[in-house]
Amino acid sequence: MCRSLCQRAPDCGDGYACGDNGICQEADGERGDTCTSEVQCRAGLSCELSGETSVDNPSLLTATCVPAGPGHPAGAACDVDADCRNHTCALGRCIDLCDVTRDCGASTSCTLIPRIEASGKMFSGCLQSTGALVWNVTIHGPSDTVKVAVPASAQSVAITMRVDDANQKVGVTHLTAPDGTTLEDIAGDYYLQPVRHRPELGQSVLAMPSGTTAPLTAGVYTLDVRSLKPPWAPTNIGTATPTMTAVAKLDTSVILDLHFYFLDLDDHPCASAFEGGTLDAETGPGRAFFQNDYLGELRTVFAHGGLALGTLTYEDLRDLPSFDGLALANAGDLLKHGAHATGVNVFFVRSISPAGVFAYGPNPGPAGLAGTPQSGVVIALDSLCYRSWSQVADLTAHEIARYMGLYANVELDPDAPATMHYDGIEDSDASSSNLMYYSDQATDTILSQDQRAILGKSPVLR
Amino acid sequence: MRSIVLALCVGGLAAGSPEQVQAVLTTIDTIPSQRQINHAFGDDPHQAAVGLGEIADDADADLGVRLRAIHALSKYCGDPCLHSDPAHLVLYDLVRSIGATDASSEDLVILRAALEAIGPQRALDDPSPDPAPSDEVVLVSHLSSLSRDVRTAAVHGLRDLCNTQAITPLGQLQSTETSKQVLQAITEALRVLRTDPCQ
Repeated sequence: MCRSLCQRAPDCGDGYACGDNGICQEADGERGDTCTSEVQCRAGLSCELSGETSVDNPSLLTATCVPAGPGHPAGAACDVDADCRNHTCALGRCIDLCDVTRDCGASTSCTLIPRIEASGKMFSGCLQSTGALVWNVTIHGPSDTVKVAVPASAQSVAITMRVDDANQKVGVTHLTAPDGTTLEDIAGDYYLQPVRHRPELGQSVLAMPSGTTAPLTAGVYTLDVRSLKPPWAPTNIGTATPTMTAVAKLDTSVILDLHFYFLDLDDHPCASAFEGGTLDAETGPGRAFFQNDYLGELRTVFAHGGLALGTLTYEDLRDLPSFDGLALANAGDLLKHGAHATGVNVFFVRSISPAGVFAYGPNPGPAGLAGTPQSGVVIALDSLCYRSWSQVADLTAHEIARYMGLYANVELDPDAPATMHYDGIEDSDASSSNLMYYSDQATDTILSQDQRAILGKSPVLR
Repeated sequence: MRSIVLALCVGGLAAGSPEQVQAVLTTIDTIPSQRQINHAFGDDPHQAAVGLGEIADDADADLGVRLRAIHALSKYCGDPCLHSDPAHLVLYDLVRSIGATDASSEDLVILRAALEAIGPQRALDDPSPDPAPSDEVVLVSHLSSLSRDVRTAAVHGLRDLCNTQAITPLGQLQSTETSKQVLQAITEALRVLRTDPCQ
């Protein structure tokens, strides 16, 4: 008797599993039978969560074979369970249940996913194996409590919140871990909390993990999300309803793409560093100083951080004269031009006002999202009047690392001048040789092992 | 570092330390607050103003430190800001002393910083019988700089100075300027200066 060979269950068609011998096996699950995987149910049936938990493992949900619905197939976008053929919508996707990765389609893996509707109980579902998973969470009103499910395969999660009114702050005022631990509270000390975050004007980002004291765990996180108006106390709830987008990194990829944008740098006072006076998307990349001194140093710094530079793109932005010499208050309007969601957008400007500021970037940035007021970092090239290209590269690496979720290993408190703060990473010290040292008098670009681990979890990587 | 030590020797008995001053004037990602700066100079705003002036004036100082000191001085003039106030005079002298044609690239960066810092001080004119040129006159003189960055900074300074006498020279420059960066700055400055009251 001939049987089909397979690598994954979808190779066999609906109602079949792919055995570990690579042979398609017809499913025998009838309507009403318990199941743990889509491939156990006969053709026309779907393995659907029942809402009950397993007797053997109360943290796992059970499922039964039921008639497949008219909705979308596994992997398609969804808002509610009814949108899906298999009646299971999680993380913005229709999810097939599974036992092993072989039960799943290509480029997907079988992983534990918490079910928000079942108080965080887990089920095993097919989820994309690599890259960044992006989904939206609906917020109802200026103040709301929402749940965010984090699958077991997630390395990190970056949650971006936005409001249309740039004069209102938005963010998470209280964050609870799946085990009930408070990870962040607006009333607490920003520098001492397991997850660093504070609401900001127009847009803010909450990234996990932000240190080593609170590793990311699979489960349902609870977030109190608010828009705020002056004087910004948690009770001063604003009028704007936030939007929320979550981005989870699902793999251990270490490729960092960089997208360089050149504002009009003609007749720059530090043009002697440009070897001929012109620096733009066409001329810059081919120059030895750019390739060797700047990119070479960036490669070295990130290599020590366990990352490799990948795709590099170059683009001119010569019709934005108001940003050529950037006033810091307008940085958000420039960063909206950051068109790439993967990697980091890097903007070269002539100068930044106020004078003495040579770089700017969000900390952390909205990893995985383009076109937002925080989608990139800015580097002012007037520092080239007294610094080298390799030093500018170190500055760029520092800002990119902030964007990716690292904090200053030591920094000053603007409100308590006698106080220094540390980054909450166990093995990073207050050394000036660290890449994340707060001062431009840093002596090196060293990263600790834990710092490298956090960097490697950023959703900007592919 | 030498300039920071000098700055703290001014006044004799400094309560701050060179390390504290270096710490606040070398931050990469933040602008030092006035509280931080005062604390670095022994919680003495007068000492801070004098110390910042020393650093801003020191041609041997690290350029980044110098620029941050220049920017910080914009907040250390008295209320009202007198022409003779030390925090104003440092910026004024920088703006007058750096030439338009023979300035080095570092000088241009310093000049740009001083032009942007002097505007917000909104210093009163020199009341002496033989007065020095007003800030408005000095800023206008830089509208003819060969450097578009300096012209832009001068426009920003005039905007922040809020002296409506600048409307005419800005309008004249607007009709001949070729740099989009400068034209953009002029448009914005004229909008501010024509708003009543100018803020």
